[in-house]
Amino acid sequence: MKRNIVVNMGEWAVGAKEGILESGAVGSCVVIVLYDPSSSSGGMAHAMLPSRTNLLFSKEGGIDFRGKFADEAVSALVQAMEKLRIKKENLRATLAGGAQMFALFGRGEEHIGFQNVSAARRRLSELGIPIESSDTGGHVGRGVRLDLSTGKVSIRKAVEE
Amino acid sequence: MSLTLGDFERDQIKEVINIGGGNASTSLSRLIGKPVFLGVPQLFLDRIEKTVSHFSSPQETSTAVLLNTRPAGGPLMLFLLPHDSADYLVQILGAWDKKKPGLSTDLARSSLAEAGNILGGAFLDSLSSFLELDFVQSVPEVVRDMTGSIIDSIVSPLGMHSEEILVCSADFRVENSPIQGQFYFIFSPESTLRILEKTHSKIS
Repeated sequence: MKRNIVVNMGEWAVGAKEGILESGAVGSCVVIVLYDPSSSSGGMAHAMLPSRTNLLFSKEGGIDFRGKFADEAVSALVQAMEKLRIKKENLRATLAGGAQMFALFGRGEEHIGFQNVSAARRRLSELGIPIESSDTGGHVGRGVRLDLSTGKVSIRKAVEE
Repeated sequence: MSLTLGDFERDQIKEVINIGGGNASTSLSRLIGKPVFLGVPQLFLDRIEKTVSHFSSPQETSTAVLLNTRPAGGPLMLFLLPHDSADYLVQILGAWDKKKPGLSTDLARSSLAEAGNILGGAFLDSLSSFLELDFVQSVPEVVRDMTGSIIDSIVSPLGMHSEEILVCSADFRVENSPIQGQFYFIFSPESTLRILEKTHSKIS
């Protein structure tokens, strides 16, 4: 039986062979999808901030939610997949999200949506993982689904850009 | 920073929202010439990444009117309407274009922005007066999209400043009309503490 796993804000998940990983509706968050066609294995992260180094508050005790930050979410996915004996060299990435829906949170490079996508791209580049496709930026929300059996990524938009 | 609210503090904040929401409802009622009913204020305090889970039907399309406030520490004010309610409100406000229905015209969007201005102003007047602080609201922004995407975009930037978020809401509905929706007032923990300090000092 196929299982649908919803990857909510700040979460990440990996799976293999069958089932669907879906992000729910995202705005400025970035959804990072990794997939290895040779083993039909994949993962998805739904990150809300670029990096914990950008935080403007001090946190007692540290934050244990790696899926919350785009850079750490990429690393968390890769590490989890390597534990499943998936070679990093086989991974292909898709990025979606990073929309700038409200101007009052800034525009262009100062907007958190842009920074989320940039942080994910940077970490993927550092790890040598190619970005196969991306649908990022703009002003509309997206919903992302990964079919683990085929590697097909579907992106839903409720309104026109 | 981690914030804990007891029943007393929750009741205090709900009362502030009740006063502000009541003023906003009265303004909406004057604007459209129909009675507006306000529900009992609700409140949740949670990790920012859990915010969307408090909203029903995050995949459904809603219309949002969002206003920020200055100085920092004031609430974000969000008026969220199902898209058919928003369309009906545009019609009542006389901004509906039969040839270009929905929010495709500047007039339709600016009519909702103006409604947001009036509602936000009414709420902020009572909040400013209650807290003896002088809040100023930003220009409203109108967005139609999936509810989850709207909320995601509003709360994510707040994650730079805090791990938690306080959201107060109240349902509203217009008598003999399909118009209904929710007012949301979104506070950072810092601004919540500020409200509690003020309310404590007013009571003591």
